[in-house]
Amino acid sequence: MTDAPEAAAAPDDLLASYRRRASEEIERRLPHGEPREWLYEPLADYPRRTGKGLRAALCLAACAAHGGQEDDALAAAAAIELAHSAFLVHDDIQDGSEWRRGHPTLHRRVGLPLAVNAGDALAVLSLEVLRADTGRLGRRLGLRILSEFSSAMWQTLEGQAVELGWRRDGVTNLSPQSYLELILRKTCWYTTIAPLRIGALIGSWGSADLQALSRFGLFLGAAFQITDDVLNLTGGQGAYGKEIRGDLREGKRTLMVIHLLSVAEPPHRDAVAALLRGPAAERTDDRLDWLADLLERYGSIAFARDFARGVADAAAAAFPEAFRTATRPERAEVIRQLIGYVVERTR
Amino acid sequence: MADKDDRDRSVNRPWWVDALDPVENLRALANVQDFGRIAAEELADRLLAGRDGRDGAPTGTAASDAELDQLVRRFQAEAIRAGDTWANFIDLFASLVGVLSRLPGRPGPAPGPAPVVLEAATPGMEATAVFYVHNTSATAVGGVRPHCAPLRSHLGQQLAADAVRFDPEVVDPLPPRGSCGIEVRCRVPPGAAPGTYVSVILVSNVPELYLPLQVTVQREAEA
Repeated sequence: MTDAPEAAAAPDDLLASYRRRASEEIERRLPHGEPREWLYEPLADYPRRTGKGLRAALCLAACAAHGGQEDDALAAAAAIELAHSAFLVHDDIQDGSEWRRGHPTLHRRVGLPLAVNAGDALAVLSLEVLRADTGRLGRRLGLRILSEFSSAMWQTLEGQAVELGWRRDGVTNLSPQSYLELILRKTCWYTTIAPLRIGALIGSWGSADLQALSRFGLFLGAAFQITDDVLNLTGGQGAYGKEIRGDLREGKRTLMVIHLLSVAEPPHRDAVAALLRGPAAERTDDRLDWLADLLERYGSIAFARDFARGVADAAAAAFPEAFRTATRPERAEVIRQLIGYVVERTR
Repeated sequence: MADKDDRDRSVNRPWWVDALDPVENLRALANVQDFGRIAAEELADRLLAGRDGRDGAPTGTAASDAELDQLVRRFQAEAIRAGDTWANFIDLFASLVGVLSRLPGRPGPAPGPAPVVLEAATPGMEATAVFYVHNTSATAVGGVRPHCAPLRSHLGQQLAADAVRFDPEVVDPLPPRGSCGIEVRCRVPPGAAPGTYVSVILVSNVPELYLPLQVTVQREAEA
């Protein structure tokens, strides 16, 4: 058994500790063999790149807070991270992204067809890891975890479809509420809500109070995603790991863009909407400079930062209720520390 | 940046635009944090409320009930470790505790899902109620069959499980994201002692669902 990280450690160190444990578990689960060059090596690429470890931290800490050993949830945490990698591979292809975690995206490295196949394989592998864990957890709890997992994956796919649909159909008449609903599905379910729920279910062997946890997870995940969007505009590529302004180049309707469209003078608003609706090739560096300048001048970046802090306030308020039935609430302190971290981070 | 007078004043503008306009309303901008918090909380209320019927613990539970709830949950967790059969028994126990805690003298809401309460009935009569089974997944679920253990009173008196019937007996299949109403009927056998009897309804292939079942048997003169 592995000791839990000290809650007093800095959030970055805490996350690194959880990330290491999840990475070791993932490494143990990665398949080997032939065709190595065309399947197993591309499949292992993203899981081996250093992510933030947020999902694993939430899953393991929620398990411990509900009475389990963190190691009980390691397989589930690994499965969630593998599914995350699967989504990232396909997401990068859909968005035409060039950088991921400081390195060229997988489809740039190995080509589109092999990257699509590796993404598919990662999704299958994540399910296989969970299925294998069913024997240890028992049929009843194991199936419950599988159901939680697949439900979260569906939410993610639905959210991704909505975002891609907005872009394909040139939808720009959006509100902060519609954006929040999008990221609830696209990000929150598999980034925060499912890891918390699954960890709590394993720790309590099926008896945890999930509704309050979901509420807290929604707030934490939304604050995380909005901050991620801001960092995509303002972060340095070295620390951030993705292509700076990549979201603008891909025409994503982030909270900042939605704010800009609602407060800009009509000529600016129309030009921004046209740029977002147009083909990606029209979003040249010059036009992105212009768009980024508008976002700054109209206060859209400051708006998103403040909005994220408000959502984080909601997370802080929801935290006590979320862990009210935890049998070892002191083990949830790690999670409480992440509330401030998700909005103040620089990567 | 535009002067505020240049702005579109259409009544069709979304309500939140004015509140977010940094030029028009600086004070509102300072309140963006509040707006973010409220928007997120409203979304949670709208999309997450009631999602986990089994797992949602009521807010405002009295401290003693919360402690009892926690004890039951721990007991339940330990029993589930021991196997499914035990888990069903402990489900029943948890329900029983929930029902007992709602009896007079124990104010405040009790933990656990809302029970299926059948109208009071006298021996020889039948009481009915309806509950719903929801399939929130994207795949159909087959063999959805409700069943329950014998009902017991606090004195240990028992109504046999076969006193309870379900209509339909089985739902096969329950479509994806679909719901089905199931009628539960309890025929109180002649000679049954007056009192409140409880059990728990479990549903095959819907492992997350359990519903406390409560039947009150009255003396014939009371009916």
